[in-house]
Amino acid sequence: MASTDVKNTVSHMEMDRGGAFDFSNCIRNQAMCKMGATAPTLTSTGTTIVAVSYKGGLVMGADSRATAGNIVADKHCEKVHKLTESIYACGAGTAADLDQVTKMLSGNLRLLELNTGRKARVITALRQAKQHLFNYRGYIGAYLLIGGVDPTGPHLYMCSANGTTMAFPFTAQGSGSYAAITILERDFKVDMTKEEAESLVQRALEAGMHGDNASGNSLNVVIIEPNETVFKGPIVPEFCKRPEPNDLSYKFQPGATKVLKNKVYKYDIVESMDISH
Amino acid sequence: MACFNGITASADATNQMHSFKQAMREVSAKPDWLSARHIERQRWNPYSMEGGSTCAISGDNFAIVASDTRMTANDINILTRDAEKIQVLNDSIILTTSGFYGDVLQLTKVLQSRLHKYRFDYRADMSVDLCAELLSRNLYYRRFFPYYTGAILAGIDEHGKGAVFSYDPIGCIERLGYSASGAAEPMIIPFLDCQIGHVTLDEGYEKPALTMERAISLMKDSFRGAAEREISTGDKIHLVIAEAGKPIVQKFLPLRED
Amino acid sequence: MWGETFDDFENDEVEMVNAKKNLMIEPAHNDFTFQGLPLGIQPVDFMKTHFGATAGKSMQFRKGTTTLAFVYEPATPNDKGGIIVAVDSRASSGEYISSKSVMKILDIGDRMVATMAGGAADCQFWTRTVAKYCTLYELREKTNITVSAASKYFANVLYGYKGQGLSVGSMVAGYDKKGPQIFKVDSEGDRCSLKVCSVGSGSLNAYGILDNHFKPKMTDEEARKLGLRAIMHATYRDSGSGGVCNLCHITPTEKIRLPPMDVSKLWYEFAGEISRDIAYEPVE
Repeated sequence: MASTDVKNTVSHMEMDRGGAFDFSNCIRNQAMCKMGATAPTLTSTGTTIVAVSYKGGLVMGADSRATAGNIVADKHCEKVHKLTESIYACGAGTAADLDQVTKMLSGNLRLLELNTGRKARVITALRQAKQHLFNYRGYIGAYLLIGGVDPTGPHLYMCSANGTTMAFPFTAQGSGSYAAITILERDFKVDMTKEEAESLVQRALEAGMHGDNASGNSLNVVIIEPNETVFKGPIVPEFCKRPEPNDLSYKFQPGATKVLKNKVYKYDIVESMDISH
Repeated sequence: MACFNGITASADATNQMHSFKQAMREVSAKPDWLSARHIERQRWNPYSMEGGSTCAISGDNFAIVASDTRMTANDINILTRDAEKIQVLNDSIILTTSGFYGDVLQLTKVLQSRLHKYRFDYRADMSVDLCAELLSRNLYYRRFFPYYTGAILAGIDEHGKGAVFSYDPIGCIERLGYSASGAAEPMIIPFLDCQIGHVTLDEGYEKPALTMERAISLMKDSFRGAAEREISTGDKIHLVIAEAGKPIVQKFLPLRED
Repeated sequence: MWGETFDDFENDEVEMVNAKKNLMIEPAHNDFTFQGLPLGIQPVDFMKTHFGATAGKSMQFRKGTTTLAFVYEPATPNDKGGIIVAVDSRASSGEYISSKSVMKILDIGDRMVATMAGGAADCQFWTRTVAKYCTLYELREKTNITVSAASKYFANVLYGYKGQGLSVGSMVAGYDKKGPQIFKVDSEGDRCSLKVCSVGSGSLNAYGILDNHFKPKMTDEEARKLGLRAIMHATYRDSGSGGVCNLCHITPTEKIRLPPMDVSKLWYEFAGEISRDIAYEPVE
């Protein structure tokens, strides 16, 4: 579509009605901003995610802090997403976009596996992700590390929000990647053992969590091998624990709050329903 | 979470609708993604924000000042884990500032030199009340190119009582019982309002007195709480305690480092 | 410097002394030297970018107010009459309440006050300047300054800074040889004499009460209550106002400052009077 067409359809609020994305509110929201409203902020998982391949397998890991601006929105956020039994994705960027993209990928890969009767390959997951993200020109804020083991061996790929992809033996992503990559660059060796790789990932994550404000709280690690996948976590490093407990206790005694008015309502229970499941 | 703030309900609904339609027309003629972002990039910005929080509590014969020691660039990267954001200006005046560290240093230097001059002129240390006014005016002299700082001045006044003065960036001054400034201000202030201001307690209910021990504990706890949820606050608490008739004590306490 | 030679560097020490002197220079009276922005940067735009609605909470200037003042005559010989000045005490930075205990009635002299609305620092600083002017005037002329003269000076100063982004809405109120006077002064350079006046974000709410209940002749008790009531209703409906109500009564002989009254307590007090239930009660 030519850019003038895009502009026309967007301003007439007709683009993608009923499609995957609805842009009809773009113009309205900008008009509201023009009238003095402030737009809501998106929860962005400023993150440290790390992945390292070793002899015959792959270790991936992520911290668990989700931030909204300068506030920690979630201390135990799950950033290691399962795509198939042996393919995992770690995500950095906008939390909602990541959830949707990984959900779509895992669905598509499962369908593929059922249709072909074979295990999905990592490159398939990557291609699906990059085609989806490229279509939206980086407006879907998902930065992914996609890795796993398939019949052709362990693979690790990075996929950026605008659709750029690269293959790596080891890499880190997110706001804490600078700190994490220093550890990886220093200590990575080809053909490491599982234990070495796991400890390397853990150390790199700890560096990211320590050196980056937007990462922290705890870390999750997944170890993918041809026959089995082990998930470990949450692991809380020493510097992520409170060094000292609170001095005082903040319990309010009954009567501390003024009661303005008392009123008792009586209800007859006519019918009850079990909502536990 | 997703809601637009700032548009208040107006009685004049038709007028508002009219202006909204006007805004819609303007925006669709010239959408944001075609222009505004490029202009935004070119704006001159002499400021940066180094994060962190500071807080001060005053009592009958003491004043306590605390800040964290983390210095941050762009809210994300840690520049240093032991920055000094509290300056002890003399035996009874403590200055603590959050905001742009360049302005913090400049402001400290200006105040220090003025205090030094005062000592030569009057052969006595300046009192905290005087220094508070001085700081207010110095902030206002930069009304059209402000210091990017949230300052708090604390100390022991001439009557031996604790004093805390709070400022906005251009020198609006107010003497308060407690004050906070910086990234975690909106978290610390409600906590202190509850624990020191006792705004939620019933009038007849017994309120604990603000002793120095309690104030120190509250100060520590407010920073521990802020470090849990505010990303640019952490590493260490720098605690400065001024008690009437005693020398100023400084302490460092650990905070979480992630 | 043009034609500089190596010998000229002997002046370095002198220059250093001058530089040190300049660092600690104190502005001469009535001649404030504000450090300006570099050439080509518009101060109003610059302020909006870095200290406006998009700036961090602690970086926004404190503002938002309801202030009111009115003149009344005593209804009985026992009453004093004069001026009632009533204000709220909230300072907000954007939607954050940065202070709930600001004193918005500032002294100008023994018999005169100025109220504070708009930018808090602007009001505090320039009211101080006016106060200094009044004191110097009284020392020089050996007579009390009139409210009219003080407010005129205030308005002239503000007019001099017009268009540079100052935000002041002040009422100068006091007693002088002409009697009780209230002048409303703002940063646009406006100045007018009024008998009943309110300024700030909650002023419309306050006017609603004032216009309904104001009488030219009132008892002191009535007048004070009217001030409190107008502030209370303004704080109840305006999110920019709140905290406590500070009230100042200027009589022909003295200036009485009343203790601050919590507006939510006032609400309960007045709620009983207008027989409204204080708690929400759903219709059954």
